[in-house]
Amino acid sequence: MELGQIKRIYTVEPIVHPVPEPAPPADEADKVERPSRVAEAGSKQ
Amino acid sequence: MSLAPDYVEAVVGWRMWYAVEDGSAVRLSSVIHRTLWPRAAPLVAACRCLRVPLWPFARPRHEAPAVDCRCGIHAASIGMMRTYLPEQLQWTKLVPVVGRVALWGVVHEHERGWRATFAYPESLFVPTEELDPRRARRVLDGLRRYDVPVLAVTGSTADDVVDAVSQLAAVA
Repeated sequence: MELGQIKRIYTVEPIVHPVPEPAPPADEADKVERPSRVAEAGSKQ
Repeated sequence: MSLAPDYVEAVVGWRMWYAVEDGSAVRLSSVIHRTLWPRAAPLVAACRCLRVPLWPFARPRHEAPAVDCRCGIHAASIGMMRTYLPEQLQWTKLVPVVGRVALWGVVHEHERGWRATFAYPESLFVPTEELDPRRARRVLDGLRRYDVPVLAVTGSTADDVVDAVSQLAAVA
């Protein structure tokens, strides 16, 4: 690309990383969710 | 001692790719160097000027982007995309893709765009009007593996496509 003259140079370190986390398959998401429900229920006892 | 970055949000510009077949997958390919963009990982800039060993004006090995080189991952404004799309999309057998790209690392800001160390697509727009419907579906589905929004756009000329993308991007 013909971008023209450089105006300035800086460093960028994004806090929110631009590469998305791949979404887990539906059945995997279910597996991850179940233990937290158990833990939550356990903490109330 | 580490230096604090100047900015903590990625720069977002526009660029054009081709959607290409890579085995059973569909990948983004840079237009000039035909670099295949990885999924779920950033593209890391490397200076291609170093790959011509006998070239008498070859520069010493350097990080990309460098001040006295044209290396780095390029992006520009949406208006600049008109100059990269074929005037009539039916003139090409390749599948052009226009999209927003996040840039970070060392960023060189130019008058009409940027060059950067790292990049990953942020959203993709595929002109599908001149594509066979099955091929269009395959390209759209394949590009969704980048885990970013992928939208079909209408238009059979560069101007039509850029106008359609501008409108969609404004409401996205």
